[in-house]
Amino acid sequence: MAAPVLSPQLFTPEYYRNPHPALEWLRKNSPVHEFAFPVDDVPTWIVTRYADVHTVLGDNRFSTSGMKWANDRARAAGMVFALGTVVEDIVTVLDPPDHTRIRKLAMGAFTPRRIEEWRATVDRIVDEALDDLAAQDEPDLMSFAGAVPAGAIGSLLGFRLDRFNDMLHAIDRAFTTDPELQDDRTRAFVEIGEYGRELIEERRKNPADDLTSSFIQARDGEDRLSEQELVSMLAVMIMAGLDTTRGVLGSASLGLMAHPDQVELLNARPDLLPNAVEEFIRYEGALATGLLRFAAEDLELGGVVIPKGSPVLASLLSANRDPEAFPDADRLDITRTGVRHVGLGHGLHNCLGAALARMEVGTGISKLFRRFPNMRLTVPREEVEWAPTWLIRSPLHLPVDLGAPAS
Amino acid sequence: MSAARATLAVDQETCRGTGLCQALAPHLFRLDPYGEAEVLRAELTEDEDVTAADAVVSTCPTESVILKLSV
Repeated sequence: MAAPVLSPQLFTPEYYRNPHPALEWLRKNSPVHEFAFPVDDVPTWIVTRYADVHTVLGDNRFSTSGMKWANDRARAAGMVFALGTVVEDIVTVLDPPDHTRIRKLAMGAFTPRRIEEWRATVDRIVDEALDDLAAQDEPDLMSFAGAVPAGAIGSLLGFRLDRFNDMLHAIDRAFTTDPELQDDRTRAFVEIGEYGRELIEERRKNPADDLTSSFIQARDGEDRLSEQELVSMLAVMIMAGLDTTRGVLGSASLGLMAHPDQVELLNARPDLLPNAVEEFIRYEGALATGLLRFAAEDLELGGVVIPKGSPVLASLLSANRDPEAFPDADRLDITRTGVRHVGLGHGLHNCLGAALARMEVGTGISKLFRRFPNMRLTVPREEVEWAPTWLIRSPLHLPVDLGAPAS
Repeated sequence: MSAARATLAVDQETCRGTGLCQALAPHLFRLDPYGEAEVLRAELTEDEDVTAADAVVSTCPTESVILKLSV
């Protein structure tokens, strides 16, 4: 049955400012919801309840490989990730066995055990980013939020990512929904690939003991990666490593400024930090949805038939605010226990960098609010600008008054 | 009946229920009602099962899958 005309518009400026009312409506009234994607009106399904999102992410028949499974209309509308560019086969959009062969090459560097070795580096990066923030005449918290992941992922890859602001901007451009911007979306993917290529060229000339060199070794030494896969590997590190942590640092700060009791609690009880990090990722994670899935066969979900080749969005933001899974879901509660959030995804493509992201968010937020416990937003919350993309949930700017520093 | 070639287990202390194992090798793993992984078979006798389990070992984000080959 077609959804009633009353259903909220998705991917409009109003939705980007605050998607939660629309998502709540969908959870209640049309949990597996067909709508027209803003580009070429491609019939698309958005899934909003926790249980259904969990199902979609865990079922490989909802494949991220648009290149393999997307129908013609979705392809023509540019809904297949980076199609036709050098980064079209990043690991996130591959099915096994290619997914597994490539993920193996990167996973070893990102396990909790290996990431723990970077703790002192991340501490230093956060302290420097806080000094930079404190020195700004008109502090924008999002410059801090971008600098932390740029420093961290740059350290692992072995570079100062001097162009990280360009890259953050390119990622924002890659997932817009304005039909007029199709060429710009493709260009954004190309720019990210080109930066990856530059880093590879530099490390081919000057090998070092870093992750980039180990990927080059997997390509040139052991032939486990094609040249295009090598570029894609650098691209996925840049794409998945920058905007995601930036988003959570921004959203968590915004959430905490609206819940001052939670700031006090966190500062008084540092032992709550690991739990708090999970709550930040649940409350307003960095990905509004998972990457687009495509039905690998005719599928049925919650009584709704989804034809083979159709694009499907699993709303992580919505699943994580589903009151069926999280009581009082709109409240930020760093002591929350219970089911696991899906803010880092689930299933085959769950976040490879989760341990690093957790360390950056935990270190970043605890140091930020310890140093500036009285920080406040200087614009009304409704005026905060968010990335206008179907994929990424991140404030673009958060002008703040840092307040009196902690004594 | 052939002898076990390997034993398979999940460390539930470190498992964070990412669901990668179940998605990659649903014949060997599932998530329990608390969302943590458990093995469906603790002893593997077929080469292809050992290969499938090994792929999970090297892609699990928390290194929680333990595969021991029999010698």
